[in-house]
Parts: sequence; C-alpha cells; structure tokens
Amino acid sequence: MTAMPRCNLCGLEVPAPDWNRPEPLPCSGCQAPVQVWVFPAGWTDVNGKPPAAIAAEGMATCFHHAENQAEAACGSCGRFVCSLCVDGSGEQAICSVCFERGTAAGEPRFQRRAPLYDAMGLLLAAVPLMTVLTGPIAGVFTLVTWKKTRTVVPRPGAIRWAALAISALWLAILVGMVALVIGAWDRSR
Amino acid sequence: MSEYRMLTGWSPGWVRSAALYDGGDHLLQVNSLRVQHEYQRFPYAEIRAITVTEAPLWTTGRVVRLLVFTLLVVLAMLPAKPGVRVALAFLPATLLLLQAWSLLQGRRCVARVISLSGDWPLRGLGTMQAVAEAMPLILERVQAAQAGLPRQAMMPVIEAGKSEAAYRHPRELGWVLAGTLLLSALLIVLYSARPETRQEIWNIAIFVGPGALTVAIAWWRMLRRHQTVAAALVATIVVDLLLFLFYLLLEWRRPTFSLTLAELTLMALGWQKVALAAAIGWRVVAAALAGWVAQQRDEAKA
Repeated sequence: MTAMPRCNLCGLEVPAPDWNRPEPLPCSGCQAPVQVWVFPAGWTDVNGKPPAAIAAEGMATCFHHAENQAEAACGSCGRFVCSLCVDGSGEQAICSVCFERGTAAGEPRFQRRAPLYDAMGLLLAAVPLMTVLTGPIAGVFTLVTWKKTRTVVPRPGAIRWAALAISALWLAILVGMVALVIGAWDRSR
Repeated sequence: MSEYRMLTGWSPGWVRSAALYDGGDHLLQVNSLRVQHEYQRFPYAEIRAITVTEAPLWTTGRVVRLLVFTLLVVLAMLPAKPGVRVALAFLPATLLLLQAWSLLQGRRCVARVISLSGDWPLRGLGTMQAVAEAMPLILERVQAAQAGLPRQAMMPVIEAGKSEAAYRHPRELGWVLAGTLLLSALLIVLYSARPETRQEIWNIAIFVGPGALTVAIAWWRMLRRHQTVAAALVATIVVDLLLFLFYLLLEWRRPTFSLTLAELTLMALGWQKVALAAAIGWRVVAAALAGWVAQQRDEAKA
C-alpha cells in the first residue's frame, strides 16, 4: 500500500491486526475509537504499477506513448492506451484526452464542479444586506439562471422558488415604499 | 433522473458541508461550498482502505460556547420589561439553539479514504450516524467490485453487517429533541399571552412557530422506523424535566409566584407523551395488521 491506515486524529499508524474489525478499537496513541477497513485493492497492484515496456515486437502500444505497452482500450475513442493515460474512474477505461474533452463539454460523468445559481439567488434575496435593492435583483437573476444549475446529484427545485418568492416580497416592499414617497411628495405640493 | 443515490445526509457545517452518493460503480463525494458543488469520485474497485476515527463530543470550544451563550441568555432575562428581554435574548438564544442543534447531530467522526489516487478526507462521513447509514452499502459495493482480486490469507474477512450495530445512533432523536424544545417554547409563549405581554406575543410566535411542524416531522419519521422511538421517548422525558425546572425557575423570579405556568407545562408534556405513545401503538398495530394481511395472502395462495 502507498499509504498506511492511520488514526485520523493523532496520525498514528493502525497496526494490521486492528484492521477489518467489526467494532472500533481504541487508538494506541490518542485512545479515540478507530475503525479501519482494508480492501483487497490495498494488497494488490491493480493500476498503480508503472507502464510495462514493450516486451516483444508486434504487441499493441499506447497511442500517446509509443514506447509503452497498451493496457486497455479507451471506452470513448477506442484507442489503445497505457496505464499512464487511463483514467480509472468508472467501469470503462477513459484516456486522458477523452477525459479532458468530456470535462470541457460538461458531461455529467466528468463534471468536477457545478455552480449553484439557485443558491446564489437565494442568498442574494435573503441575506440582510440592502435586501430592498438586492431582493428584486435576485429575482431577475433567478429567472435568468432558472435552468442553469446543473448538478449531477438531485437538487430540490424549491430553492429557486424560495428565492423568487422572497424576491417578489422585496419587490412589493420596494413598490410600496416608492408609492409612499410619491404620495408624501404629492401631499406636500 | 440522476443516476446517484444519496448515502448520507449533508454533514454539519455552516460554510462547507459534504454528502456521499452511490454511483453504482463509484462513490461520489459532493463537497458543497453553498454556492458551488465540487465532485470527487472514488471507484469502488480502487478503494484500498477507509478509516473512521470517532471525535470527542464535548470539546473545550463547544463547552465554552455553550456556557457563554447560556450566560448571555440569563443576563438578557434580567431586565424587567418583557420586550427588552426578548430583544436582548434573541441573538444569544438563537446561537444557543444552534449549538444545541449541533450537539443533537450526534457523535462526530473524521473519516478518510485511501484509494489509488491518494489519501482523501471523506467529509460526507462527518457523524457516526452517517457512518452507520453509509458503510454497509459501501462495504457491499467494494466487496463486489473487488471480488476478483486476490486476498491475502492473513486478511480477516470484512464483515459488513456488524458495523451498523456498533454505530447505531438514531437521527430521530435529534428531531424529537428539537421539536420538543420548540413546541414547549410555543406553549409558553401562548401562555404568556396576557394583556401586558400581548403586544409582543406575535413577535415571539413567529420565532418559535415552526415548532409544531418540527414535531410533526419527528413523529412522522418515527412512524417509519419504530426502533428508535424508545430512545426518543427517554430523551424527550429528560429534556422535558430540564425544561420544567427552567420554567419553574423563571416563574419563581416573578413577583407573584404561582404554579400556573408549571401546571400548564406539565399538561403539555403529558400531551406529548400521549402522542408519542399513540405513535408507538399505531406502529405496533400497523405492523401486526400488515403481518396478518401477508399471512392471509400466503394462505390464499397456498
């Protein structure tokens, strides 16, 4: 294993006899209960080995590294790639080029981050900082970015509706204030 | 339709929180920065180890915060005018409630995952409750994904089912405790609706109004998992006793001491117990009915 299991509080290594116990055992350093699960991948060299050099003529080589032996075929483009090029996440091997392309295109399986426009709208509408002004702006922002929040996990639509409702409330207050000011101005005339 | 299934609730945190999702062949950790999600994927076939260390519940910082906020609430109750009391106590009481809510989240833990890509924090497993909920499925998935890999003889068999019992901590407990606190506060507010305090009653009612809803949700959740009702009941009684002592102390401070408030509190507590007992009873009856119906159906098929 490249990294030994450690206690997450004091950093002391957890000895092998304490692995895979059904119940947590006290850490020998800080006495905090620690539970460690070590899996077969921790004992084998699944994908972390260096790329094998070409053993003989006629063997498939990596598309991007001609000196390396091919380990797998990319599940997206079909090219043979070595272990340096393969991104191991998911069932299929994906070469680094396809991975970068997929990330740029925003494919869900490659997505690394997602801006939450609905949460931004809600914060803009609800955080008490000049909300009479930012509230209505938040409403416009929420409407413009209505379908732009694309997370790979389910996200409740109530967030944007709440932002819109609070924004509408602030808009009503703003309109009321303006009407009061105009009324007072008329009376003064 | 998302391909991900949530394994844990969101870990506690005001600025940053995280949750774990099962993606079939990989574990997805969603780190939420409130206005942005960041995704980390850990293929089950590549997970080498997972470590979970239980953190102490009562840290020095937490105790100090609780003491300071409690002291501020007590100090805010000293002025004679009720309106002033409410205005002064609002902020420290809110902070105190948030601290209490944080405590009700249960025992915390620090978890890490060692995979082929490195050693990463598993922030989604922030509480022991989350560990109890998520680990059985994670273990199952990892075992299935790594079934073809050789296992050394010295390595004990991973027992997925036993970890849950070691970590059982009912989340419903938190709901019931919070609901009890808020509902009791609401009842006290209603009681305080006397002519001299009637002006401020609506302000307070808005603050504690969601209490009834919280209690309803707590009971609904308990109906779904009756095994935690007993623990919730015990916890509720303890909280009720503490509340009763607190109310008694408040009433004692008034110029005209009377037990009316305490009596009303007792009535409210009694009503809550009746409702909890009804919830348990309904669950038992429903389970018995379901069993009887299933038995009848099997007999009809036979």
